[in-house]
Amino acid sequence: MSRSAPDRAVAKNPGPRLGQTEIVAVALLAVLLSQRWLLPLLDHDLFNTWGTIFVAIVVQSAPFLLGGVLLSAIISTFLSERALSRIVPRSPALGVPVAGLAGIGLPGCECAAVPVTNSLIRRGVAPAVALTFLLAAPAVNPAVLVSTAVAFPGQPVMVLARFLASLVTAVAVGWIMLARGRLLLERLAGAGRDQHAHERSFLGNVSHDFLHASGFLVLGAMLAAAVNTFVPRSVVDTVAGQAVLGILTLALLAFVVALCSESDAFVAASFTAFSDTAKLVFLVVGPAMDIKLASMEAGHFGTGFALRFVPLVILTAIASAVGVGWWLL
Amino acid sequence: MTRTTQALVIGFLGAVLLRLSLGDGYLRYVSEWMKWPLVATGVVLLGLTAWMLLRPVPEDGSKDGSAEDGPGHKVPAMTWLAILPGVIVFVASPPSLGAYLAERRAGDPVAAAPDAEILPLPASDGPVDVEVAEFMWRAGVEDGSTIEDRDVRLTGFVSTDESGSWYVTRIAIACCAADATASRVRVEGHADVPPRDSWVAVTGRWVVGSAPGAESETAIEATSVQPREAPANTYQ
Repeated sequence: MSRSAPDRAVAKNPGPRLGQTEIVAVALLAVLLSQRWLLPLLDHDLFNTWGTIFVAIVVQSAPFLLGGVLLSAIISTFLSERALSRIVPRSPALGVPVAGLAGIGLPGCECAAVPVTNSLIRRGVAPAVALTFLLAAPAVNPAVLVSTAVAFPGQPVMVLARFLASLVTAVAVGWIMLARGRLLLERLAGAGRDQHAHERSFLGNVSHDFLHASGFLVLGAMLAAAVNTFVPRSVVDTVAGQAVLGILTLALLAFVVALCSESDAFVAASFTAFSDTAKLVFLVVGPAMDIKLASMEAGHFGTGFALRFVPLVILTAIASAVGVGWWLL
Repeated sequence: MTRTTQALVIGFLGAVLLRLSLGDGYLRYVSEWMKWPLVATGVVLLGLTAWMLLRPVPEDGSKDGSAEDGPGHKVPAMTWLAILPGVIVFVASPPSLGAYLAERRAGDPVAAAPDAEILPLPASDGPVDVEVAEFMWRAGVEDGSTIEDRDVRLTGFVSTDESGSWYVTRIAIACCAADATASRVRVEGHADVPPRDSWVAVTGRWVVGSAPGAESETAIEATSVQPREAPANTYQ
């Protein structure tokens, strides 16, 4: 968008900001009206496939994101710090496992968890505890476990392994941040905290949080759709035979394709050539960290924090899944 | 981004979700049960837009148009991207996944047979309707005895490969189009290839010995190929 147009409007008009809205509105209208002429130009298999997957991820995530934003606005607006402190154990070391288990109660996809976590931190919950909840919620809730059981018929141990490995990942990251995460959490305090949340009305918080999260969600969806469209799955299969390489490849794939945690078990089950442990790594890394989540976390908590948090979570998730897989599978 | 523009961005997204979910459009992207969550999301977002536009502008904050929000009202530049999905839906209206994706996913592993006992196909005078994916796993178990010498009808869209063969194809999604998996059965005995991505019903018999992972991939010897209208929900 050209910068000069709104600037000129500023000089002329005491209500300058109206200029931007009008430009956006006119641009949108122009796009909608020119649909008939633009459509044939864009009618290309590759672009269409990317577009379908991109829109699908956004459409699938939107209700979950809104649900998460509503819940986080309730926490920010109505839940006093005192009430919250009665629920969350005072000692963060104890709060971490409690937060991990509390994840069972939020049956949603990972996009819902990011705004909720942010509002918990705003409300004075220790960041390590809130982030444990962020990691656990998308992976250990009943909806995800049921879909895993359906995707792996006759292999109930996979459900147990997924539950344990995800919980261990969340709690371990929480404790690591308590013990050694000073640097990490300082960055979070600088970038992620929003001091004004309690001054806003409920709807003010909803619109603020939704706008904050939606752009990053869309960015993550664009990247994930590109990987889905342009990287053939058969490339992945070439390393299926190798134990270590297979595990690393599925971990990387879980990060870049950013599936919702309710459906990733079906995709994991289709990697028949890989070992069960590699499939478990796919199921544990995906809900804890993927490109869409990384993008949203960079938006909510700051890029400096995300750059350290993302690799920490991925490595912990791989280690935890390999350990549990070696024990159970 | 100004407050009014913020409202516009949210309202546009809400309108797009409503438009998709009130028609059949959403079926191109997500599975059927998402309809009512999407309608509710669209309604809430439009309501939020109305509130953002109608709430009083505090006088002292007219400089940035939102004193009520305090200094935290600024949204990241990334929020501009939230316009993009709606623009793509309206401008390009990306269709259901079809032959292009199915051809790229051709080497993917196929759906496994259910663990339960494999029931024989129902008795019938005419051809029996069988899903493409089911036809494939039936070909793989018990040497295909449940479909051998039976007249079946497979419905799906047409995809092709480099060698000139064509396939009756279906795409299945579990949650949204990002987790799509394709299954396909090669059609033999019908050299006249229908247009790619068009829908057909293929009647015929299983080619004995063809199965997923076998020397020859699952194939059907066609006795008739009828064009069909694409269903509202093209996924399984």
